[in-house]
Amino acid sequence: MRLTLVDNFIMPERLNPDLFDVHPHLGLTSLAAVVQPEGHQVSIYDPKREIRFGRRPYNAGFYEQAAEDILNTRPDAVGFTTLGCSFLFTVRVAELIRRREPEIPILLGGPHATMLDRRILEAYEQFDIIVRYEAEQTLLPLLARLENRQFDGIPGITWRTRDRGEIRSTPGLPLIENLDSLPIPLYDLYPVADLGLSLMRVEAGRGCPFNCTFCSTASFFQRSYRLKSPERLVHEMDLLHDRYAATEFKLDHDLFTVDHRKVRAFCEAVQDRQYRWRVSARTDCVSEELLEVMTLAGCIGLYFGIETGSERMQRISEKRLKLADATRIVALAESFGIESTVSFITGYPEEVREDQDATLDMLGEFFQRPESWCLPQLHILLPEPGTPMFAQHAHALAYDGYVTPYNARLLREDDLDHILAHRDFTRRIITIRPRCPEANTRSQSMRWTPCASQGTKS
Amino acid sequence: MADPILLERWRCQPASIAASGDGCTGIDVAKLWQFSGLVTKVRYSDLRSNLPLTFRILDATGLSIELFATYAPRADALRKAGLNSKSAKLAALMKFLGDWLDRTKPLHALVWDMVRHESTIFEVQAVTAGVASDPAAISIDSVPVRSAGTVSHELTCNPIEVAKLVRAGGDLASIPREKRLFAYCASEAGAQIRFVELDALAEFLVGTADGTRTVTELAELLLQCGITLEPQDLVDSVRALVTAGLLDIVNTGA
Repeated sequence: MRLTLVDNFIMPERLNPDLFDVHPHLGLTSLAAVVQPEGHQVSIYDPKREIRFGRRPYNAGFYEQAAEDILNTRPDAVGFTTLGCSFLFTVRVAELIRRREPEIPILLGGPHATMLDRRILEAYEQFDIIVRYEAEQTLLPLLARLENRQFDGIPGITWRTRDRGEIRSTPGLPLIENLDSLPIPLYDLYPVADLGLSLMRVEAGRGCPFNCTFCSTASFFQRSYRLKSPERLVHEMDLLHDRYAATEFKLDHDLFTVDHRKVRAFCEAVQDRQYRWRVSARTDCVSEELLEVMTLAGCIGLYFGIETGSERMQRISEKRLKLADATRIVALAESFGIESTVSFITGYPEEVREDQDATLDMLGEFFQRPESWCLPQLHILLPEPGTPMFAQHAHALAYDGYVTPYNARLLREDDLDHILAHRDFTRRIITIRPRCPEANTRSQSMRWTPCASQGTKS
Repeated sequence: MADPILLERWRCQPASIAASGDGCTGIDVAKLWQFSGLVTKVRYSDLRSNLPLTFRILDATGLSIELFATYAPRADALRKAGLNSKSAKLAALMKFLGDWLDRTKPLHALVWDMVRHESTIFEVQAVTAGVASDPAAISIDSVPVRSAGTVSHELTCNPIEVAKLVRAGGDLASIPREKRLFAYCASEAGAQIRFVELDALAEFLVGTADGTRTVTELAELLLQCGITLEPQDLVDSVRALVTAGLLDIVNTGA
């Protein structure tokens, strides 16, 4: 079977190359690596690349062109991945594919689809099947039964039956216990050498054991912390080094440093390679000793989600960091020569002025550090389906039109109407805020017979 | 951050930093000033839902940090005075923008257009529309009056076209600029507001319908301005404006 997988496209405001993330998608390359050896022919279409490198104009016609590009791969099935912030593109392009080639099955996966599976199928006829949670073990049997859509027995599938259009789902929360059992991702499905990447991403593991109320990672990966073995990780880094001369890596994991023993083992395995690498961590999941070991093994960057400078909001959001320790750890990282990115959020529904002031104060503390060592970030909260926060506040969600440069563009004139009509799904610009007047305003242009035609006195 | 006036003094008179004590030397005042802009902007995030396009255009034009850093002392004074409601913040910001923006610059004028457009929508939404007059009953003897809460602005662009262009990632410099007049009023539907572009005649009527002159008297006023229009023809225009919610008819009890 010829399977075309479609990468995310979060549509940035401007054609600034920095806003287009053209790194190989680790989830799609992993799925391709599972499927291709079994005789399926897999390609990955990355819309970002088409725009980033000027092969397609970034305008209202891009949905059509993306659909055409995908159909030009002559797929027997198309599989989209989606986040809340890329869902509009996914919906539009899938709709066009369905219109042109109604018989091609369209699959959808990723966190957003996992959390909203049934509701998405109810609202959007262009999608046939939603592959929930981690799909490496379910995609192959699904493809084998695609023709008759008899998916009973395959966990984590939600689909529309071919005959009566009923929506069915199988129970189950597929999860890959041993990530070493997965084949090496098929990076070669991307033209890596042509992408001009300064570092390569490697999936280091999955799952975070913490339960922050705003974070959808915990629900998608089911709070099951897993890390690839040191041997496997270093093998992937070596492979990317040999193949693409990569020496700097981003080890993708929401929280790499939970298990110090495993992190130390990785550091030991990688320390002779002269690689440089970056990871995400919590400030309460690293120690001075661990930072030293990591530094010696090539760690040059840490991403710390501090999220709020308010002790009260730390409790409410269940992030539960000790803020004094957070400041100390960032200073320690700096002393070891590790760059820190410290990330904060404002706009929590429970946040009051004093909480926001505390966040701004803490942000200011980091802002005073040398820019080359500490990059503070402040984000506005966006509630994600599947999070405790979303469950609690879904009733209060309203459109507020807020966008960032990373996620601002609407390609078609009716895109805004689509978002407003499907505001439960298109989370990209929905926040817990009062109603946006812009959304309730319609221009009326009134014209009377011009005065001049009535005659004027001279 | 707690004393934006001091920060402003340091910025304008770097020599004054030393006078503030040894602990202050070496402070990167320019960076601190920029951070005060960010802090103030964040503290005004609650206005984003009312001024989404204004904030977006401020970001796109690179004006936002400078604007909010300059505004920080006023914002701080407002805060210390306990004036933290959205409407108080909006009114203070509008007043500041009126002084700060150089409206001879096209992008500054665009910001001024958008902030007036969006803040007016916010204000008009709070107005409860009255029961509309019956347009069919309007005659040359009727006395039109501007509806409660109706606001008009002369802008240099059509905000709806700006919104579309901004969403489509277009170049702000490409927005057609010309004098245009718009009126805003509450509708009976409540959540909706009416946003209407006016031509010269409509502008005249909305501007002169003060609840004391009949349609015939307004036609005479027009005549004094050099425009001949039969009162009966003016009735049609008044009807259209009453239908749009911009005018009401005074109940004379006749």
